Amino acid sequence: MKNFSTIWRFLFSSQADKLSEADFKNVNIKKNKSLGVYKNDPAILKKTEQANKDLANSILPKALQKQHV
Amino acid sequence: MNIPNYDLEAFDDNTVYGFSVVNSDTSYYYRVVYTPTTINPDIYNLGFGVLNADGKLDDTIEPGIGNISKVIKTVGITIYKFTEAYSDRWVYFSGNTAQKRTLYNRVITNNYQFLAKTFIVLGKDYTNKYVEFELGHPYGAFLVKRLTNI
Repeated sequence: MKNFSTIWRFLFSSQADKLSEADFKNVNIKKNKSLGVYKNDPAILKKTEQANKDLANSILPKALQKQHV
Repeated sequence: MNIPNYDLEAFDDNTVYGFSVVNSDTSYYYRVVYTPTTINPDIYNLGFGVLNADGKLDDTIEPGIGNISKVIKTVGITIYKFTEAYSDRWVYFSGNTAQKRTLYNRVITNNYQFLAKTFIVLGKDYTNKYVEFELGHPYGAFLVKRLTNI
């Protein structure tokens, strides 16, 4: 069990997380200026590419199949 | 149980978010980035990870056991805020490991009663088809959108 990952330990722990809309609605977020550069981060580009592949190989509801040109 | 969240900051018109996770011995800065897909520009991919020393994102770093609920809730808040700002957009997310996919299934299942009042939740089933989320079924990826403006 030494290598039992953190996520698996969490899944089997008692921290079942029940949330409500108030947990999200009333959160204040500090707004900052543009960063821009993160859109070109290799990890983000890779993740977006994986999403594109996954979506392309999936059956989407008709309303989501539209391709904007 | 009232799960706390990390203090969030938003950048780039609510398409990029950041928050710090500080432990007794380490501290991480997480970035959450929403990027449009090419399949449909209304579908945005949710990507997040820890900023490493080079300023790049690393999605292999796991938060400590005591921080997972807070990290997941904080990322969930970014979904809420992103879709509040852009109610016509869908958010796509999937775990890059079986553990993460299991975690996301569990979090959605545990909170579906609340989520269903606010979001349309679709899950990718075993046939690779996106269908309306149903309790008790495992899904490989998710698409969520605000329930308003449909």
